[in-house]
Amino acid sequence: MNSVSVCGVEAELPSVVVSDGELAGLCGLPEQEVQRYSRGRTRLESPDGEGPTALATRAAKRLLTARGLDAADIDFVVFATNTPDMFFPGSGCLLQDALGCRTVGSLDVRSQCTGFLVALDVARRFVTTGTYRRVLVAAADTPSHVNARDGRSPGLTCAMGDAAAVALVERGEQQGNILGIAVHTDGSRVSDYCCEYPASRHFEGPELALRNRLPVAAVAAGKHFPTADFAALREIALTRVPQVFEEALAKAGCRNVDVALVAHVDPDVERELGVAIGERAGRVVTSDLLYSGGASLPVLLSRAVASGSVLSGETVAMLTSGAGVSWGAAILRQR
Amino acid sequence: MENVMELPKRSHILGAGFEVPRTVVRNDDLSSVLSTSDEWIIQRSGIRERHYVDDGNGSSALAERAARQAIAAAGLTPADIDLLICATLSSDIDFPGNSSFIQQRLGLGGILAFDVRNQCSSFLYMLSVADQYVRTGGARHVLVIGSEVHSTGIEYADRSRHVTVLFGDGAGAVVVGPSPDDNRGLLTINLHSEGAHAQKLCLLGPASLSKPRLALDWTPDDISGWPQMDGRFVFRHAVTRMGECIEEALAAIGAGKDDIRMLLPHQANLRINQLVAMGLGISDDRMANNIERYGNTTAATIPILLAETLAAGRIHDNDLVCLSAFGSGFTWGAALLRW
Repeated sequence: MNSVSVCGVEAELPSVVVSDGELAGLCGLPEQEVQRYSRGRTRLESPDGEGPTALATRAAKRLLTARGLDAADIDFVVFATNTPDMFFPGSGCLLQDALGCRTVGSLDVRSQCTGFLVALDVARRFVTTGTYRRVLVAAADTPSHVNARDGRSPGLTCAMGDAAAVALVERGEQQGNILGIAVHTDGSRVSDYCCEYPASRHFEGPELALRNRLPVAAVAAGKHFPTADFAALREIALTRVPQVFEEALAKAGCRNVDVALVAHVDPDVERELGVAIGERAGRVVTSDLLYSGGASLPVLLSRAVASGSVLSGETVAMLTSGAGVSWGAAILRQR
Repeated sequence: MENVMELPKRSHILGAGFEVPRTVVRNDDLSSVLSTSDEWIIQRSGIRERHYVDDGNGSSALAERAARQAIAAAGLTPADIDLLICATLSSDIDFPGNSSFIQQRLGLGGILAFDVRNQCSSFLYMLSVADQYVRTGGARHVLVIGSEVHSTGIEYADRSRHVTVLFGDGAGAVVVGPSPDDNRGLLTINLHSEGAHAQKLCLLGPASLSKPRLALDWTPDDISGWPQMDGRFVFRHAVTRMGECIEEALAAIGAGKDDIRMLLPHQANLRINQLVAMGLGISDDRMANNIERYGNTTAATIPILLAETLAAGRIHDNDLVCLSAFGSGFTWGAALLRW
């Protein structure tokens, strides 16, 4: 019954490298502070005018070409981002237009750090039911456009970079390679990693003049910058990710995987998670690039395949947790 | 996919509910601060009044009340919900999305909850996603919610009056689950988009095309912080696309225009809906509208309208019900349900 597969994943990385020293200068932070969060990983950033759609478009064009397809072969688009190009509409229809797709549907999903896993789960179900034959899944984030650059919330500023990846989910002749996906959310912990403004709940009074979800004072005070409690995010990762890994393994009918790809905003937590998931994880692979939210996992998969860290036929776990708070796991078999 | 012995052939809407805030804002209340008039607004949109929140609880509070009604109408309790999908353009805070806040309010911690951002077409996109989860065994009862607090995100200034007068606050929710009868429920749904016209109805910022996405010296004088619309262009496309996608849905199930017993269109503009209905030969008694009382509540319009129309006893068993929406993106689509 299940012949739905991820047929190709392609990453796109921005070309601008920002060193820890440069970022320290830009943000007025000691370089040691930047290094404490970046742990020597490479920071790539998109320039002004290049949002998630531009990155996803380049990745998608390469993937389509590599597979001998064109935009007309795409039946549906699912775009996951926490940093959309515009406030609305979402980036999905911008990608639809940039690729020259037919007027197919473009679904925009917001699930923050688990965005790719949710988008992949939605896409495979559309293909499983036969609603669509081929779905383009995009996960792209440009946190360098959103995080503070003035020394506030230095953890996020220093630990994140921009990236995008796309995947094609299709029905094929072979046995499907999406073995199991599990994602969960706990809305009681939104403050672990959040951004307050613009805030539709902001309310100073019923008078029309007071109704403003983005008050100047909030912007001047930097309340439109994301904040994170790294200790709380660590705790969520170390308790929830091993559980959801077990759940996904059970769904996949596997006892273990050959490779585990782990993504978290804190590189130290990735290492701790690698130990926590133990021998069921096989080889643990983390990125040499900084964390890019929902784009991190598919970027890591694409680069791991390209570098030979994941081999054909191997089972791969993709594990992450973050804002929402949400946590999730997907288990695939590499073609 | 999931190891479910028998998957439901169809999903159906098992219950609907809605909530609007108490404060009513009439056209004349707006014409006291904007150069507009009751007559101008009614003539162009059909809107007479809309509701605005009178607290700081955000769109998730409206969503919670709509959701509890929908769950009760479905004969369920919150514990029966195993997937939460929420849409809004006006989330409580910038992120995480409203699904996290609504999940917390309903005590649904631990299930999957995520946001969909497809503007005026969000409800149809969510309905289709919910349908996939139900039919593949990924979820049994999906809570689908559209909720908006537009009143804190529109500009009360003359340059924005053509946008500001249209929008209101509100929430609508449905529970999607297995259809009790294979011949009833969601028969077909189509979804479309055309990003070439993204800037014809948009809110440019704050958003990540710019770096930084918001300058520290930003002021509300910058139009990029307010919704913008080319009204005539949107109107023309809405009439054409809604008509097209309804015909596409009818063709998909081999039905004709006369088979539609009740058309529940997105509530962006009464004149758009009247032209769409005229094009399909649908008489007034076969269409419901409530824009005159609520304005455009974006993701919430169709579930609010559905809840009201069901409560009014205007939808009967075996009726063919048509839902259709068009909006920013552009995005659009249509669904047909056998009630």
